[in-house]
Amino acid sequence: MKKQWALVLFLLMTASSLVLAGGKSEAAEEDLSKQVLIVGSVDSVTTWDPSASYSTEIAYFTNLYEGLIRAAAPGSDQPFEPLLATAWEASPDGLEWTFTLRRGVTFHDGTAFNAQAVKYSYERTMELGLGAAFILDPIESITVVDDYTVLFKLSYAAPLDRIAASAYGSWIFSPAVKDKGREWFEEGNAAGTGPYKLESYKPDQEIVLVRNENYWGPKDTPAVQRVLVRIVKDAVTMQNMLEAGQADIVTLIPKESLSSVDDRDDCKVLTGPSFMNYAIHLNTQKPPLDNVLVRRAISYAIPYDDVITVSLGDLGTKAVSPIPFGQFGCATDLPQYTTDLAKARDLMKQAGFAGGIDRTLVFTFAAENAAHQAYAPLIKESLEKIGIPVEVRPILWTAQWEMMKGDPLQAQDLGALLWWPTFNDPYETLASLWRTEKKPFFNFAYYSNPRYDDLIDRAYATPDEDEALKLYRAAQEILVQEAPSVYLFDLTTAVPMRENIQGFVINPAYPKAMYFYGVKKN
Amino acid sequence: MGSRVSAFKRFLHFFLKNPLTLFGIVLVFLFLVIALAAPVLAPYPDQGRGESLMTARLQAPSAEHLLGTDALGRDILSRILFGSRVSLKAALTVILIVIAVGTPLGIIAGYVGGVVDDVIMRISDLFLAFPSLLLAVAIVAALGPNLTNAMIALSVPWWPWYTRITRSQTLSLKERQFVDAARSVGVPAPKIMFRHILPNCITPVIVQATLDMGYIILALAGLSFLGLGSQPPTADWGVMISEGRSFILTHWWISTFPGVAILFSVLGFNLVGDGIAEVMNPKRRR
Repeated sequence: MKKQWALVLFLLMTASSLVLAGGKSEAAEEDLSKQVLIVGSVDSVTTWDPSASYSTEIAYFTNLYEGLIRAAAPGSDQPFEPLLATAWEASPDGLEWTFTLRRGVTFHDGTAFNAQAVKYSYERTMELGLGAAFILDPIESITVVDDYTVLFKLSYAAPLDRIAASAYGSWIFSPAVKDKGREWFEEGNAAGTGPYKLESYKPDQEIVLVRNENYWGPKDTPAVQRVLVRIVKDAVTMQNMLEAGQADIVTLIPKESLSSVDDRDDCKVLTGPSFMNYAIHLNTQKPPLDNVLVRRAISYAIPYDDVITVSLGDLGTKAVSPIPFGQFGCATDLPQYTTDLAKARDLMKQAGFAGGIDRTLVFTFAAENAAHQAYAPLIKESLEKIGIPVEVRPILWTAQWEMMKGDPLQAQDLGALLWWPTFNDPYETLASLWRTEKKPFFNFAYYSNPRYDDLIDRAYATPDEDEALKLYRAAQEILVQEAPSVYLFDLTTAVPMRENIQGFVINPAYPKAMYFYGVKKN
Repeated sequence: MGSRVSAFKRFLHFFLKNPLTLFGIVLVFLFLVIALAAPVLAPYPDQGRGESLMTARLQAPSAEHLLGTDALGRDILSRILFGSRVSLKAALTVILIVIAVGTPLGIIAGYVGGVVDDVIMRISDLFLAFPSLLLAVAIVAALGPNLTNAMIALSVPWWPWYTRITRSQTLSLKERQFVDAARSVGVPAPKIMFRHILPNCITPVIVQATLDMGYIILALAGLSFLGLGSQPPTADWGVMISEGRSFILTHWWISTFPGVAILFSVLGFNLVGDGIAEVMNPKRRR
């Protein structure tokens, strides 16, 4: 009830401020509900610092910040579309990239956008070295040619267009933040060029975005004045909010309810592709999973179809590759593991574990993710059938990540992970999840294979796309043969919303991101 | 002999006058039978133990599955029957722990008195000062979520109640003639405490324990619901309610029936506890 009152109060305040500001009449008040978009979202903000962002806050970041270019939504004939850069080109050897910048753009704080700002943003992110900064590794130097031209020099050939279109690590922000420090961001501030400004933020409760009146896009956009994001961690609560009209868009409802919500006259469910996949990473540093035969046995023991049915229903498809399906570089002709208990038991025997394993393996996953929750008992059951006792241990994601980043010998044996790429390039997925890491960050199989590392490094550096695809395919084949992870399924995005919401776009290159820019309430 | 007969008559008379207590006894009895005979009674014992049956998922209550099935095709009735074992075992363990810890401390505090009394009672006050469930949640968070830790976590804030009860009982017993007599013939203090005083403290402890059974079943289910107690796929009523949470709007039976099971078991123990309290303590009779 309290929350509802807060909402009413908020609407009243918005109403009165609008009336006072414009001196408008009743018509304005009627329009008011169309001016406020209420979003129920499950995603927390782990940081507001655009240099450090590498997690769920992507849901909101695309409204506050922009990169130089953006990966186009499906159906476009161009792979990228211009944002803060209007044109870009690479030298034939792929080592020099020139970006021509948009004129007349200002940051939320009033600072003018120019080549200096681009240089500052990239250099700050590289210097801090947090989050996704590693994707900027190829950049050797950034030169301001003139106010609206920037030249990137790379130390080795890399697809800088894909990097510049990344959802993490490539945001452009105001150079004025130099004097404010990182704390300023964490207090709930933003200094981007995006169509919305960050007005207020209560951690894990509420985010308020307000229209950027100076946005460089067409004058009537964005259409919605304010976006009120309520962070809710429960799917049923969100469904209730949506059905009662207390939210216009929600990010999560129980998947069993998707069809019933879609059938309602006042609601609809928008579906689209996503570059998200689920995998279980096996601790390759710790016995018995350091044994490739045991890992293969596990890959054969998993009941893939049942796992998909209980966790995602129609929204899941069996993974064909370690890379999310449809993403650039995803090989579709790899050998596949099927559910075959006889083969799994045989492999266990070959590995010397005919009598089973005498230790209970720990299986962790993010407790707030209902899909993991749903299939976890099936994993336990199927592994116990081949003599591997399993303890299921759901932990909240932040705690799970901390545990996973610790000493591999103390860490979990099996860790499930929902993954989505930082940018539309296979290198990032293949390197983050399986390339040798001195200190674990996302490689939760703790996998290390110099031949694999070499393959993907060469694929990334080659300017020849066919050659790159060939190398990436070879690397993916190693991941299937060596089975450091169990590749479960790819995810289709479903966004439930009220019937009167128009213009919501799902862009698979930016999983979880919500674009309020084009949204209209009718 | 005469007093025993009258006690028996009193019981009989009491139950005839108090059908609710009788109802409670029936519920508790049923609960015990179910817990002991779950593998025999359950129509689908394998599913009751947690095995999935993907061909039968999300079925509404029917002749085949009296209370329906859950997302993994497990028969809810069988799971509830097996769940009663988890609840009973865990609640009994917690009760035994708190009695084993709380009762001797209470007797020592009451009999020895002085500084010992002060120290024991202040420590117990310390634990009583926290809301017990909140303290339990904090303890589980520190120890890691599983059923054993949930039982430990519930025992920690719960024992002081038994210390208080036995202490006040001991204080009044200490002044009684038979204790004086024992002391005057030189019976050592420990023997007086546990031979003479303990048996006379046991009645209020049993009353309290019966009442607490219900609360502890409820608290354990609560912890399991929050993911801090039993872990799936254990058939635990709290876990079952939690598993059905996302289906509550489309498949109501998954959470509802385990909820009903909790309701009746807690109700049963409470009614019995109230009944015993009334029989044992005439002052409480209305």
